Amino acid sequence: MRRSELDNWGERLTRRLAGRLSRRSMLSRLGALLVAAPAFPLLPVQRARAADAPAAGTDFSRNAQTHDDTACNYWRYCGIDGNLCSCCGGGVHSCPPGSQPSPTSWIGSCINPDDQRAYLIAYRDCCGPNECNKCSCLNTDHAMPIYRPQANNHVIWCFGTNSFEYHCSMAVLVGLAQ
Amino acid sequence: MTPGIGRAAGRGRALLPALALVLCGPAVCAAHGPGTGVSRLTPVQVAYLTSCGGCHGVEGVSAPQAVPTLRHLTGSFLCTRQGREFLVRLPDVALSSLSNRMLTKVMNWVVFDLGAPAAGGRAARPYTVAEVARLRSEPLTQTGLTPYRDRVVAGLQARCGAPAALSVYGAAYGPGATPGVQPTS
Repeated sequence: MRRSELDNWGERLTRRLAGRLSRRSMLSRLGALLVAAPAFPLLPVQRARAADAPAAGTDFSRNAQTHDDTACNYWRYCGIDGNLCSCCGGGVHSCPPGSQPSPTSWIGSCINPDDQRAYLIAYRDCCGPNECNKCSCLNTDHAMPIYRPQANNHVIWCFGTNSFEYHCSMAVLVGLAQ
Repeated sequence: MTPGIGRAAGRGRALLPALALVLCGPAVCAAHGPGTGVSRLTPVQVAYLTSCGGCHGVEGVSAPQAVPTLRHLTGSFLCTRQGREFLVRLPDVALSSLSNRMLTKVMNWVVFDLGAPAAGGRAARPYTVAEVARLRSEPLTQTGLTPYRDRVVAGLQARCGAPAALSVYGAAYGPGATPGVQPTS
């Protein structure tokens, strides 16, 4: 029977390898290949997917900062809607003189970019004088629509105070959530 | 001013003067001022704070005439069957987004920790998950909550000597109160 060129070529290659390589050598090379393989991403699809993976946190937290509490992107303001009390003569956790803190609030959570942990924040209004109208911010992390008023940041929480007049909003740190 | 949700002049914030019977539950935790350390919250405390603590207060005390005080008071409701069922059937409790299991933990934390009577109370058994699941399936949505609560509290006070402070909430809405007037603290 006539042998094909392919058969001849295969036979020559096999005999050559058998003459040059020991079985132990073959095993050691195969082992090295298995060990090294995971270090190299083999498929470009896998690399593309990894590049698109979302980072942890929210859009707000990825751009938040921890040093300026008069800016809307201060980390505790992730769900605030209103004028920052820190621009109105008060602070992030204190009312300006002449205004009264609301006993009620809504409580959300914000991620501190310094430690990537979630903290509960009480958004509490200061009430009494006319609206401050400085540093007006609108951030919506964890805020719910008005039909879920307990977590709605449009609600004026000045009930239980002597005046319903809204002045400004604070972001009081309640505790570490995780 | 008439209680309700309106829009404040000049800005997009709604006024919510009377969240009246937002009675959910329990709460938590001590808030620390800046620089004094931060409380580490348990999952039950986080659930209370995010579901209930905004109105009822971080420590269960808020504006007592507008929002029922929980601290040292809520545990008194377990004295009667009607009171025990009332707490879970309140709409904002029964219809909360918490699971039966977590709601049960929150309610037990509210009545046995946050709301435990200062003078001690009669021994009561904790809520079970099955009990909470059954009660929350019958929310008090077809009842005038303030008069209903008045009857529940009257029963607690007559049968168990429950504190008079339970009657502070809603007093401004009761007989003789001016309709539409928002109570203030």
